[in-house]
Amino acid sequence: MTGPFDSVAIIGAGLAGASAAITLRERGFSGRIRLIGAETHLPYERPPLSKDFLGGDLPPERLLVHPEQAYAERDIDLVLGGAAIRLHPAERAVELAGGERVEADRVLLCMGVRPRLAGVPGEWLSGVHYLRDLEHAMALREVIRRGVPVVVVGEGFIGSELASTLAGQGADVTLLMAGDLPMRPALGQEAAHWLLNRHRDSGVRVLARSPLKSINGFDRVESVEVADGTVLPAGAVVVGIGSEPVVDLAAGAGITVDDGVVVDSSSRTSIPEVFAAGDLARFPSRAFARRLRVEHWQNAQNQAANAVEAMLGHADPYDEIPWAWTEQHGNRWEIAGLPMLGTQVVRRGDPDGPDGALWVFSERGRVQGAVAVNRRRELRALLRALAGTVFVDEQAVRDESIDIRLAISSAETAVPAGEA
Amino acid sequence: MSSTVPSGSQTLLVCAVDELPPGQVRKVDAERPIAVFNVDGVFYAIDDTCSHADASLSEGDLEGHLVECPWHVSRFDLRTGRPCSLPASKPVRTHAVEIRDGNVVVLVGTAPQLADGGARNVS
Ligand SMILES: Cc1cc2nc3c(=O)[nH]c(=O)nc-3n(C[C@H](O)[C@H](O)[C@H](O)COP(=O)(O)OP(=O)(O)OC[C@H]3O[C@@H](n4cnc5c(N)ncnc54)[C@H](O)[C@@H]3O)c2cc1C
Ligand code: FES
Repeated sequence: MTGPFDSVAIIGAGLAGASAAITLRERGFSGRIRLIGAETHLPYERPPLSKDFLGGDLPPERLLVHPEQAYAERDIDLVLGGAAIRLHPAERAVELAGGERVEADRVLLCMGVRPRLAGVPGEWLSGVHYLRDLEHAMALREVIRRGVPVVVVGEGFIGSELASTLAGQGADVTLLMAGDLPMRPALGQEAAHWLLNRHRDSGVRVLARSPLKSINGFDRVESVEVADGTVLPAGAVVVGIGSEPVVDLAAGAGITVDDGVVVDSSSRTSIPEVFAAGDLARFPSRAFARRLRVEHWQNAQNQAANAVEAMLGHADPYDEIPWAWTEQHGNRWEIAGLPMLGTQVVRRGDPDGPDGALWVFSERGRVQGAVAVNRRRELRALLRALAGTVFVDEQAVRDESIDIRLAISSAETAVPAGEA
Repeated sequence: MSSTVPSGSQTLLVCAVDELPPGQVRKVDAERPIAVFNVDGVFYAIDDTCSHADASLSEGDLEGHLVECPWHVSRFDLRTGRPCSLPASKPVRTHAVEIRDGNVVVLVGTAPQLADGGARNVS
């Protein structure tokens, strides 16, 4: 079945773009599909770039979201190696860097995010790295091979994963944190503290409250200076201080942007023929009663699939509960919902024990999110429950003999804490 | 827990029926490992390796007839082997299961006989 339109251009050939293109066909769209990517690669998975890929010798082909023939079989035109530079919604056209114009009745923006630049003197020296793309990871493999001391700047997902992988490869690693704990907003205080100790146990030199002041050297990095004046020798610096949604194209076309491309629950932007999904899209979450922009794998995949279903006129409003994972020092973490919205936290299990630990975060009794280390099953049960409104029985969460599903109760049956 | 059988064999002995109670799963090591599930007394066998990447589905979570992959959360229907959520798009193989002398036996590569893909302990 063809929708009320004949062609779709998807801009950005990452996970979201790939997921959208394949889903369009799978849902019966028979018109023309063009997947336009600035990178020369077929869409690939980014999560391994900071983990197995960086710390191993996996060939890049192993990262592909789908093999090349998956696109050919579905008659998806790949337009790779040329960025889209302008959007002309009124003319239903996209202009590419090479001057080519692509006509499309519907456009889906999936351009993701780009790393935030260091913003300090010396940031352009050679030996200063970021980690978003395959090329970045290849360059970092070379840094590991050279065995030079590495300073990782930033204690978020990327910085913390990098510190772990580099230490696992025997590199001399210093992690500069702006705050006191790694991944504090994502994991909460106690779990982040436990992670800090894992970094230290694995030989990572961790400096708290130590934002980067400058990067020094003639043409190559030789050292970095921290805010308090400490100078550390460095053969390479990897900057992981956050990212910025790639909104230039949308803003240039007059589409509403606000720390991301603003979309409704059908992933539609302020221009009805233009949709957006993945890391760059800010969507209304009914579950959390706020707009969210989620920079995680599952959201990119599922929001993009939902966006094209919405385009075709048959999708439920997109309202997925955020879910992410990370792997560090041999531990698998999973995060469900928005733990940072919880003011109370209760722990189940022991992060040092064989069954791991689960932290449940709540606000006035209502569960906002959960974090698990090496304790996936219970986290997944909470993730499913978070689609509704659930309240927590903290005593029951602590008691490992009680099934976690019985430690939470849905809105219909619960008496919220404090109102009993 | 896992049991081992000679590779190349087409008939895999899994375990005694009462060693695989409802809600449980067993992984059988073979050239292509098999996961055998008991859903409310009905046995289902599928390839253990997720069709998306290389996760072991026997380590996944069972909800009704769906098993959720431990890595990227694709769900597979045990009755058909089909994925019902992203990222997996290819099905995993399903295999016939028989109860022989109180043991659960998988016929690798043989299509399941019951319409719903399972095997009941009717003895
Ligand atoms: C190192 C790393 C590790 C990660 N690990 C995890 C993890 O463990 N778990 C997890 O849940 N998530 C993880 N993530 C996040 C996850 O990878 C992202 O959420 C996901 O890649 C987002 O997909 P996307 O398609 O929205 O954006 P992207 O994957 O960034 O794809 C966007 C694409 O658009 C292209 N593009 C940009 N502008 C243009 C233009 N004008 N024209 C054409 N193309 C353009 C870009 O080059 C890029 O290829 C990780 C991310 C990174 C970088
Ligand atoms: S390995 Fe199973 S969903 Fe990815």
